[in-house]
Amino acid sequence: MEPLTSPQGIIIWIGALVTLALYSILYKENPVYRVAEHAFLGLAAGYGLYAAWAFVLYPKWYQPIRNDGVWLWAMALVPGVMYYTIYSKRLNWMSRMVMVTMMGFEAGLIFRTWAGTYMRQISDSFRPLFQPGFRPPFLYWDNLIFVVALVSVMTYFFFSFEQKSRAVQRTAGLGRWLMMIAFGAMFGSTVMARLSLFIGRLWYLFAEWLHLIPKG
Amino acid sequence: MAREAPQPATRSGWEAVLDRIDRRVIYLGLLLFTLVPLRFPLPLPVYVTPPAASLHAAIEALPTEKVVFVASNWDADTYAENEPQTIALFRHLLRRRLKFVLFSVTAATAPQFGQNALDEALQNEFPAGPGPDGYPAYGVHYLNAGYKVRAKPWIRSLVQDPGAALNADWKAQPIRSFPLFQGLTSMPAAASMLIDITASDTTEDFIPLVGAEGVPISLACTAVSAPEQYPFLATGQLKGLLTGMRGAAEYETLLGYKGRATRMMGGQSFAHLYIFLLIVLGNVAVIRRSLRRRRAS
Amino acid sequence: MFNFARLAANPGLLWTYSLASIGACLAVLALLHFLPRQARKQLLVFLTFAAGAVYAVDYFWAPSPSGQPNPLSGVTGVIGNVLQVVAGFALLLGIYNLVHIHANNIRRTRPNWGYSVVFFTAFLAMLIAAFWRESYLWFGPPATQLRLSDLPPEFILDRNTLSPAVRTQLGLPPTPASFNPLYANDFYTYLFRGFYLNLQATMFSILAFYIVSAAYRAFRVRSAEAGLMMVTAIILMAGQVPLGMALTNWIPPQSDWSGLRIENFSYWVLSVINMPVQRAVEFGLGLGALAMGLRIWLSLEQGAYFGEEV
Repeated sequence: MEPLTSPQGIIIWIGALVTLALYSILYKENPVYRVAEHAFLGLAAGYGLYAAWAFVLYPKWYQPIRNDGVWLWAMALVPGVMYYTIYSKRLNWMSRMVMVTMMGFEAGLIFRTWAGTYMRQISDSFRPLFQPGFRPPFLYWDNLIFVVALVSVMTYFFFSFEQKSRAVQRTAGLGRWLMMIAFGAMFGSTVMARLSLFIGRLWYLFAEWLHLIPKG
Repeated sequence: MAREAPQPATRSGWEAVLDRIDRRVIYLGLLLFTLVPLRFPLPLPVYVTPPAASLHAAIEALPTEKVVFVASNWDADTYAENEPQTIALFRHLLRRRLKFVLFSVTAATAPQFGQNALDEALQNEFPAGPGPDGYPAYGVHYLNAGYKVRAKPWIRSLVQDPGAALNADWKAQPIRSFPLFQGLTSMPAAASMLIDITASDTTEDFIPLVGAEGVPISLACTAVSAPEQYPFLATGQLKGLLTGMRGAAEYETLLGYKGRATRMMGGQSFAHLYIFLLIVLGNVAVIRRSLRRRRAS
Repeated sequence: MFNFARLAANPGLLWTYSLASIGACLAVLALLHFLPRQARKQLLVFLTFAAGAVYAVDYFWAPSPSGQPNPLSGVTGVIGNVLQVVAGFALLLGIYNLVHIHANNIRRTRPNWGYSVVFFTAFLAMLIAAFWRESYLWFGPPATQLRLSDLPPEFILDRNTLSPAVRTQLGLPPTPASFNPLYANDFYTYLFRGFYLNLQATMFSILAFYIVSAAYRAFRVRSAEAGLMMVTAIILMAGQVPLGMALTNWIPPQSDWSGLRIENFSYWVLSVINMPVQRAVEFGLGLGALAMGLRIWLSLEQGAYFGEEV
């Protein structure tokens, strides 16, 4: 067990006790869990407030005014405070001014983000299917599977016209089957991710705190 | 689908037992299946997959005169996955004696977690402190630029002028006062790579706004979002990918040390086995019941 | 008025200009408040379009043949920083909301108001600890004029901040061998690494138990598609962990059958089948995002927030 004789020991003990406090919910709902949960909320809110000032507002707003004399930055306080008019029925149109401007900036970037993301994806989707000179194994089988999967899944999501033709319906049906493979991959990855978080906690409790698992 | 007519419960003894198992027993099973292999580790191999190998190769080939931008975009909720990834990546950057800048755009606590991981990497790679050439020195070879609010317009300005966009380090020191940022113009000219260590969808912003400007992007993400990144790997928009704790274990293998991720993979293995057994157990009972109903009808 | 260096040396004048500029903005807002609703709505449409137009034009206006960026790059740089400041104020909005709710709980002594006291205790503790740790910034000389003697000991003791040669040059004592920046002896580190890190990590690790419970009780293979999904999930889960890899360890890695090694097979499934499916889904999402972006930029979007009266 980690001794309580150093800052490291104290920190590890604190961590172990709050971990166990939260895990008590797995047995049943209890006040210890609620206290730990509210403590977490409070710590997160406190750190958020500190970070908003220390990382964003102080270096980018206060310092340019105070140290560099750029008084124009003082005007940035106004749109910042306009956000808070959302709580007033009479004045909340001012918060909408700020929000629609921010949304406008993001919307204006849609061309750049769309082209930057999808143009390469589209060009990469046109892949050769036949081996040069039509030599064995004649086809690029992986590319063929790729094209079939891409077209069938895109057909599945094509809602602009009713899918009446049997060929289209069958293609969309194949797309659904292939999507199940992708969903299985996502499920497997999700399971691994969630279990990793728990294993990390186990490691903390049994290796760092109780020293029951060899660390080295 | 037609609704099945309600049937009297015709369950065998062990199916009834399985149905009545308390959830806390299932939780206890998870604890045991995960804890025992951690306590008694088996010598199981960790094979390196192509995405992790690509990332390693990409960092190996980076020029030392340019700067690597490391976006540490994770919080304590994905600590077990992202922290070992961050440590391994920093250890590689330090071994290659590359210059790097750490910043975050998703969580306010991310710079502190990134700094802690960097401190651990520094302790491992430079236990006696900076070498005779002074590497690594804060502000000269590396820097923590703190947290900035995630916004596409800001990321656009980061690409155009990182010094003006980042503005100060995480202790509010003006960033241009550090030698690392003197003469640093735009990211396409000065950055050799952007490594995104993330628990969210930050690549949606980095790929089109940074990657499309000619800066290579690599990603270390949680396992949840990994399958969605394969289209970007295929086009080269991502130069490499680390997937969760497994990706961290692979990277540790490539770097030749046995870190926390590698040690925890044993528990991961048996936890997966436990999930598999639960799925099979849960479905065996259902399949038997459905076969019995069909035989009865 | 725009001689900023002179103003920096004259705090009185600086305050005057700052307050006057805020006053001017508030005066403009007051004038806008008295505009008719229809005019206000058109103002919002104009603002949305103008904001978007900056970046749309920035994208379509190519750099010069010599590689010089277009003239809008200066504007976009300023906009990026202004947005940081405005968004920084917006960050406080969520925190204000939380504080407001818990303060009401205590004021009205609602059931379980004691937990709100815990919330405030933790909130104030972290706030004080985080600011106190950098008291040299808030209560000392401006950041550009800081001296090392203004910094707290652990900042100087951090071996990674100063090399031994610099420490000697500055007359600072060498870093104690026992010092570990990860476990520094200050209140902030106790709160951050002791409480916050473990609370948040544990909160999300509870999901693992729910996954396990769901795997047993809810994951039922009732159709062929669900069966295919389950089989794929199991193969990929096995291919991700050393125990699964050990099952096919006996297949030589360089042989023609190496594709059947589970880690290779699961990588093949991910890159050959999963990848085009993800890409097809993303194409659909991307088209939707493009349409949505255009609708917002051109103020064509109606309903919910956009259709509200101004």
